[in-house]
Amino acid sequence: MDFPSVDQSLTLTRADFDLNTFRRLIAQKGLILEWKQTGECPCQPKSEDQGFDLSDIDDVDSGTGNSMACPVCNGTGIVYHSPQDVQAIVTSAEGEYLNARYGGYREGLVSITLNPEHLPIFGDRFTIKDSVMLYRETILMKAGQNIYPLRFPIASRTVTLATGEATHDIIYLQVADANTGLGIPGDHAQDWRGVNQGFVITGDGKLQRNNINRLQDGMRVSLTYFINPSYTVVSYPNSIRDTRIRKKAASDKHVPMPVRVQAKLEFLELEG
Amino acid sequence: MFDLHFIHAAKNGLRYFAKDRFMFDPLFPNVSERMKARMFQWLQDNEVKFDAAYTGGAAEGLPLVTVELTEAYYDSQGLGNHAFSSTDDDGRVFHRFHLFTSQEVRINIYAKEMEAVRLIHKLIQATMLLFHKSFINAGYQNVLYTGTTPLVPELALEGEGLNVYGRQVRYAALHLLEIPGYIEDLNNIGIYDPLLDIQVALDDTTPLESGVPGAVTVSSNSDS
Repeated sequence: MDFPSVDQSLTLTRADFDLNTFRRLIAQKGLILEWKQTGECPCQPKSEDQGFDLSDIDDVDSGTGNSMACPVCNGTGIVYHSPQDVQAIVTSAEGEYLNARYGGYREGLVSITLNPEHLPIFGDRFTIKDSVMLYRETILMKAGQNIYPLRFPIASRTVTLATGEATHDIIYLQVADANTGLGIPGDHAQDWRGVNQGFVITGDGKLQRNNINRLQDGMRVSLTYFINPSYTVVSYPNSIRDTRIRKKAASDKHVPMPVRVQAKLEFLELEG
Repeated sequence: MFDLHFIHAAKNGLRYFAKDRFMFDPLFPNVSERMKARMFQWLQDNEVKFDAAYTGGAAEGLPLVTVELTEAYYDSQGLGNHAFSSTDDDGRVFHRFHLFTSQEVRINIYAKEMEAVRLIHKLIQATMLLFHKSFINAGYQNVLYTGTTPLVPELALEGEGLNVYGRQVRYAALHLLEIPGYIEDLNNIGIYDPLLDIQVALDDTTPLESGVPGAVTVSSNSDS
């Protein structure tokens, strides 16, 4: 059965979406995010590797999954490409701390609203370059190793205090005795910092040990430091929420609207 | 303790098999050289982290193995949980009590690579075979492989680049808890049963009105 709609006049007042105003809002208020797009890696291990040969026939390949030896995806099946900085409105941050079977975990979800040309797909990664959050982790000092890439690059935050403007990166550092495993009281985020004092932070956000008498081999070192939070897109963008407008035009025109996606906080490590 | 013992064994087991192709290759006797090479190389390039589940500290990075401990009853217990009697260094006899338990570890494997989950699974099985004797020496009566769940994505971790795969391996160990029964009740905690601490001796004197020559008399009271 057909259901024909009545003719609707389109010449009177219209309520068109003002895309330019919204773009201006993003340009004025949007945060700067690094956007990495994703694609599927075409790698696949060959089934002949499995050592299972069917007798008397010419076996065809039945490989499945991705190969952990793949130089492109390292077996994850995901390829990150085209990194670029974009502006976006980040809202609706929510989440909670979980003491899960895989350990302490911060579950986080945000909404990211972008200009129409920045259309992400699930799996894409956004790193908020303007904002920071605190992260905790404990690392082990190993003999012969002085550069320690933490799970996330160490970021910094500048704030105005009663004493003036101050920039912070690592705000807490405590060690445990290498022999007993017991914690040694004391925060050394400040007094062990500097040339030959204990540690410095490299330009790319790693911890560099420079005094093995303080940060001794075998010591566990707990750190609380700032990171730029990164998020993985977990929803399809609502790009079908497009519209038709006729502003300063004789006829309607299809216009793509800003897009919004939901993304989950990456907590275990940056890009695995 | 089975979970802590397992973590110690598994961490050292992976280190053992990752040390040399001579130890690693026999785990995969039928697969191609190419597959063995890429699995071994992955072990060289990646550090598998181990932890107990629910420690509260920030979760270790991937690949990750966490361990949970549960305990089930064992339906073949000794009558009254009694065990044999023993004699201590002072020559005093005391009773023992025992309880058989079935301790189970649930080993959760997490990795972004499906092949890595398969590899770690196999390495854990190999480790438990390799160190079976060590578990027996540590007081476990037996260690049994009781199965593995299917390999599935861990949805709670989809923020970590979308796909993190997980699998749970289970082992059960028959364990004997055996304690010396030094006390009788809460009123004399830490005191030997006085009945087991009284010295007696055969006496030549026959008690009056007794037709049996000689007697057993107390030579010293309990010093408890």
